Amino acid sequence: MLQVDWKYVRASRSLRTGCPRSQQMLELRNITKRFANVLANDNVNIVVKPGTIHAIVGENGAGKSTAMRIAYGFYKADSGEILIDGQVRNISTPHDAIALGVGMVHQHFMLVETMTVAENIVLGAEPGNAVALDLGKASAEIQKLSAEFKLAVNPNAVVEHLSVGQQQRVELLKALYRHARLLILDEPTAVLTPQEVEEFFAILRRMREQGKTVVIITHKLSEVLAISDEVTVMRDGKVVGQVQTKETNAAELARLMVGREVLLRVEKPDADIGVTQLSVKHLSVTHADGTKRLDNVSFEVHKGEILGIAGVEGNGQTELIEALAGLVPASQLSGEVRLEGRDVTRLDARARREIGIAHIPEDRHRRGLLLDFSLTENSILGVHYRDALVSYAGVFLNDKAIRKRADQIIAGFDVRPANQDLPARALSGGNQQKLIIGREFDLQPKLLLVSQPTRGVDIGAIEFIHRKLVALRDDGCAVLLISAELEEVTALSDRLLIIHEGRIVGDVDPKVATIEEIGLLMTGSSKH
Amino acid sequence: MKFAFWSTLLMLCLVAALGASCNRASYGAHDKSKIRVGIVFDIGGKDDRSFNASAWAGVSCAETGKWPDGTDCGKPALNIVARDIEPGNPTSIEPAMRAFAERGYDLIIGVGFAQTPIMELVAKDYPNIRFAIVDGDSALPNVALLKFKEHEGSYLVGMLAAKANKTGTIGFLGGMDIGLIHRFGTGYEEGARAVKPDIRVIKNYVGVTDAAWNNPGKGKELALAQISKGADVIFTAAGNSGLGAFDAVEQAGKVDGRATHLVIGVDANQNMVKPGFVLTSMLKRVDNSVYSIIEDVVNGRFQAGLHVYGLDKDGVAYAMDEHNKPLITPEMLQQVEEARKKIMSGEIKVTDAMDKK
Amino acid sequence: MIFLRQLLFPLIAVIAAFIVGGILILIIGDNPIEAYRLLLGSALSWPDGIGYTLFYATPLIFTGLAVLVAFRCGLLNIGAEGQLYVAAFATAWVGISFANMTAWILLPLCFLAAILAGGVWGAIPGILKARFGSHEVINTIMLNFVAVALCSYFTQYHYKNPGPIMETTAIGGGAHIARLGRFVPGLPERIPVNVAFLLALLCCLLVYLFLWRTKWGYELRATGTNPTAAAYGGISIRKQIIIAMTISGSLAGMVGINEVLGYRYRYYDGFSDNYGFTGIAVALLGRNHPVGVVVAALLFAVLQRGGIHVDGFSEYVTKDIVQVLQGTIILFVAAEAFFSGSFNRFGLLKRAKV
Repeated sequence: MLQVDWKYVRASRSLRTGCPRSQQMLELRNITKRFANVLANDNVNIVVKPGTIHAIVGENGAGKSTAMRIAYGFYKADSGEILIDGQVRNISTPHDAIALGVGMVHQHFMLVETMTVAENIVLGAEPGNAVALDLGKASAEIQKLSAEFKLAVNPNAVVEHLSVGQQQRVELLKALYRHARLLILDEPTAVLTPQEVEEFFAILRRMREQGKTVVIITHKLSEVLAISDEVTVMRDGKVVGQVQTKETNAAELARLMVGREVLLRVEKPDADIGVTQLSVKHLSVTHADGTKRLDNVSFEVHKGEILGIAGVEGNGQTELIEALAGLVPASQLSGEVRLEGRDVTRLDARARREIGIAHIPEDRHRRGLLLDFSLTENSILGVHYRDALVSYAGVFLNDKAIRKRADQIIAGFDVRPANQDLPARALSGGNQQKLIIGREFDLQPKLLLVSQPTRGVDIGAIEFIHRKLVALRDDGCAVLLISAELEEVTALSDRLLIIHEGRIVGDVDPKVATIEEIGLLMTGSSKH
Repeated sequence: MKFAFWSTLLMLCLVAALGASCNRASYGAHDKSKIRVGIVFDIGGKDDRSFNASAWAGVSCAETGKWPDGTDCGKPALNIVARDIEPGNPTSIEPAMRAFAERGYDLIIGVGFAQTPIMELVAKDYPNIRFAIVDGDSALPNVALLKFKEHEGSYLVGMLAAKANKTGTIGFLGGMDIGLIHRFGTGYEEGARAVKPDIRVIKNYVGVTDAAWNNPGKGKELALAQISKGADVIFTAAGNSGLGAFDAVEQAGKVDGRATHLVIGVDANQNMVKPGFVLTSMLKRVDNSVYSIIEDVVNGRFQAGLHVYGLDKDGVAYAMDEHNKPLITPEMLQQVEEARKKIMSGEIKVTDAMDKK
Repeated sequence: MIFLRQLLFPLIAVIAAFIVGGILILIIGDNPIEAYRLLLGSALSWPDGIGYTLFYATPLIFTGLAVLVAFRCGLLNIGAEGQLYVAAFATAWVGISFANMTAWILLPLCFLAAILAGGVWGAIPGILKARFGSHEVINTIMLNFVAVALCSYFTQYHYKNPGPIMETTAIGGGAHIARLGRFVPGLPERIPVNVAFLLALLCCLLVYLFLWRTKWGYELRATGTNPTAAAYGGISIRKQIIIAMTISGSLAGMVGINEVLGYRYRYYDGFSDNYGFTGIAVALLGRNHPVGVVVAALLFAVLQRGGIHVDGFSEYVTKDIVQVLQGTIILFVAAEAFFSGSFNRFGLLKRAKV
C-alpha cells in the first residue's frame, strides 16, 4: 500500500553519513513510538543541520508532531536515539530538552492568559532568588531579545489582550529566553492571517541569520517552499524523503506526502443554479458588549450553488454563520432569515437543524466536537433525540442504530482510525473534520453552512472534502462557504461575496475576478 | 462494560474487606480485672476547655489520680481502665456508646443532655451495664443522672456581681434559650437582689439552636449592647459564645489600671482568660460528679436516678485565684461565704428555674 | 487499559494514604498494624461493624451521586448539605403533618417530599445560573446557610419536641421504613441500616442508566464536557444546568429518607456530619462514576465507623488520625488526577480564558 520513494530515503541516508557528526544540530535515529494500536513513528530518521530552517511536512497523523515531541522530551520513544550536536542524549522531559538548547512552540499556545508577557516568559525559569522575583531584570533581557530578533511585543501587556500573532511571539521569546538554539514550531502559521504569516517568516529568517536552527512542522506546501532550506516528508509514521527545498516543487512534495498525484485545483462542473433556498434580509448582530459585528447584511443562496464569503478573519464571518445556525441569542439579532420562503429567524439551533440546515463550524474543538466523547457519541450530536436513534418510549439511546449510523459515517468519509470507541481527541485534525462533515452530510441538508472546512487538514483530506462539497451542491443543496483560504474560496464558489467589518462590500464572479481585486475589497478599499 | 467492570471491582473489594475482618482486633483495654469506664463526649470534644474538659478531668483523676495536665488532682486513683470517644457528629454518638456496651464496660458516661435519647436506647439493650448522663433525664433503672444546682452557684456570683456593680445595672448572657440556662439566670438575679434589691438585670440569649453555644461574635455584640445600656458586670452562661463577652469588657478598657467592666465566666475556671477583667467564674464541677459516680461503681454503691451536686458536694462553686484576687475584697468574700453556708444549711432557698415548669 | 488505570490510581492513593497515616501513628507512639486492624476489624465485623458501615455509607452514596450528576454537567454542587437539610425537614414535616395516614399513602408522600424539597433547593442555584449567570458555587454555599437556619427556625418555633433537645416531634408510624435487620438473618434491627441503603444502590444504577443510556443524559454530559459544542448540537445549556442541579438536589435530598424515615423517625437539628461536603470527596475518589461512588462511600464509611473504635480503644490514636487519613486520600487522589492528565495537560491553562 505504502510506496516509499527510495530515492529520497537514500538521499537522506547519504546526507547523514556524509557529514561529520558534530555538524548536526538534531538527529533522530531509528525512532519508533507506538500509541496503543497506532504506530505513530516507525523507524524515523531525521537530520537537522544547524543554522537552517527545516520543514517537516506530511498529512495529519503522519507522525510529524510525534517525532518532534519525542525530540522535545514530551513523549518517550519506544526505541531509537536522539542526538544533539552529534552526541546521544537522554531526553525524557522537556526540562532535559531545554537544558540542551531545544525549545518548542506548540500549536495550541501554553500561556497563562491572565499574566503579563514578562511573567509568562519567565514562568518556570524565574530570575532572582528563591523568594523574590526579579522581573525588572527579566524585562531588560526580554527587551534585548525583542530588539535582536525584531519580535515587537510589550513585556508588560497582559497576554489575553494580545492578538494571536503577538501571543506566538511571546512563545518564541519564551524559548529564546531559555537560550534555545533549536526551535521546533508546530503548525505555527495555522492561526495567523496572511499578513502575519509574512511578518512571521521575516522573524524566522532573522533567527536563521542569528545562527538559530528552526524546525517547522506544517502541511502547507506553499509555506514550505517559501521559507525552508530543507524538507523532510513523512507519511504514515515513516520518513519518505528528505530533500533540499531548492531542488523540489509543490507537486513533488504533494506526491510524496499523499503517495499519489494530487489535484491542487478543484475540478467542478458548472453549477446548475435553482430557486432561492436561503434569503437573508437586513441581518445585523449586535454583540453583548454593544459592538455591531454584522451590519445590515442581505443576500440569497440558491439551490445547487456554492456561495462563498471571503474576508479577513474577524470581520463578521463567525457571527454570520452562527446567526444562520441559530446560535446567536435572539436579543442580539435583527433582520430576517428565510429558508424556502419560510421565516426561520426565531428558530433555535435544534429547530433549524430539523428543517434542513446543517452546519460545519469553523472551530471543531470548541464547537464541532465533544473531544472526550467517543466517535459514536460525537456522530449523533445534534440528532441524538431523533426517533431513529432512540428506543423504549424515546428515552433510551438505541445503541445498535447509533453504532450502525456511526459506522456508515466513518466508512463513508474515511475517518481513521475507524474505531468507534476512541475519543474524538485521539483523532488527527483531518479525521476529526471528516467525522463532522460526515455527520452533517448525513442530515441530507437543504442548506449547508460551512466554515473553514479544510483548516488544519492535510492535502489528501482537503481534496476529499472539496469533492464532497461539490457533490452536495450538485445534489441540489445550497452551500454557504466561508474560508480564510482565498484560493479555496475562489476555487469552490460559484458566486463570491466579500465581507469587511460586518458589511458585504463586494459581489464578484470568482471565475473572472482576480486575487488582487478580491484582496483589495477584503481590506476595505473600494474599487472606485 | 464499564459498569460491569466497576461492579466486579466493588465485589472484589467487599470480599477482600470481609477477609480482613476475620482478624478481630486484639488491642488492649480489655483488662477485665479492673472496672472499665467509657466516656462519650459531646460534639465539642474533650478539649473544649469547659464542660467536656471538666468531665474528662474527672475521669482522668479517677484513673490516674492526676489531672490531664499531669498535676495531682487531690484524690486517689481508683484502679480502673478508662477509655473515651469523641463522636464528633450526632450520628456517631450511638455507635460510640454501643462500642463500649458491646465490650461489656462497667460504666458508660454520656456528657450532655443531647445524648439522653440515645443513652436510653442503649441502656435498654444492656440492662446490666451502668450508665450515667450529665445534665440528662431518664427513668431507666440503670441510668444515673448527674445534675448540678447551677442556681446556687449563680446566686453567689450574682452577689459578687452586685457588690462589684457601680451603675445599678448588670447583665446576663445566656447561650441557648432553654430551662437549664434559665436556671443560671434566675439564681444570678436572686443573688444580686439579695445585695442590691433594686438592681436592674438585663438578660439576653445568643440563640435557640445548638449553634448558640458557638457564636462568640454574637456573644460580643450582645455584651456590647448590655454595656451600652449601663451594665458593668456580665455573667455568661453561653459556652464558647461567652468568650465574646470577655472581648467586649476588654474593649471597654481600664481606668486607673482597673477594668471599668467585668465579666463572670462559667463551667470551668475562666479567670485566666482575660486577667483583670474576670470577676470570677461560676464553676460547674462535672469532674467531681464524674469522679464520685465512678467511685460509687468501684465500691459497688452505684445508684440509678438523680445525683444532684450543689454547693454541699462541691458540685458548684465560684472560682478564686490569683487572677481575680485584686477584684474581690475580703468584705465581699466574707459576705458570699456566709451566704454559701446559709444555702447549704437551707436558710436561704434559691429558686430553681427548672422546678417552675 | 483505561479501566485499569481508572481503578489503579484511586487504589494507589488509598494505599499511599494508609502508609502516610501509618507513619503518623508510628510517630505518635502507637502500632500502625494494630491500629489498622482495629479500624478495619471494627468496621467490618458482623453484624455491628458491617451494619453501621453500610448505614454510614448510605448518605455518602446519595451526596456522592448528587455531586457526580452536577459535575457531569460541568457544575460544582457545594450545596448538597443545604439540600439534604431542607429535604430531611420536609420529609419530617410530611411525616408529622399527615401522621395518621396509612403507610401506603404516607410513605410515598414522604419520599416525594424528600426528593422534591432537595430538588427545589438544588434548582434555585441552577435557575440563578441559567437565568443570570451567577456562579453556582457561591449560590449553593449561601443556600447552605439559609437551609440550615430555616430548618432550625421551624424546628424551634413550630415543630419542637418538648425538652432541651433540638428535634421535631416524631413522624407517624406509617412513615417508618424497614431496617434491613428485618430481612437479613443475623442482623439485629437496632442497627439503623435501612431500606434507604438499597434505594441508594438503586439510584446508582438509575444515575448510570440516565447519564450513559438516555438522550437526556447525553445532553447533560455533552453540556458538561463542552457547552459550546452542546449548544451547536441544539442542546439548551440553560435547561441542562437547571435539570442537572434539580437532579443533584433530589439525590442529596434522599439523605432525608435515610435519616428521618429510617433512623431517627424525626428531624434532628444538625444531624448531618458534613455529608454534603464529604460527597464531593466521594465523587472525586469515585472518579465521578456511580460504581466508583459506591466504593468510595463505603471506604469513607469504614473510616468513620472504624475511627470511632480507634479513638476509643487504641492507646494514643484519636479520631483526628482518621481525618488525616481521609484528607490524605483526597489529597493523593486529587494529585493523581492532576498528574495523570484527566484534567488534561493544557486544560488548566486554557480554562483561564473563559
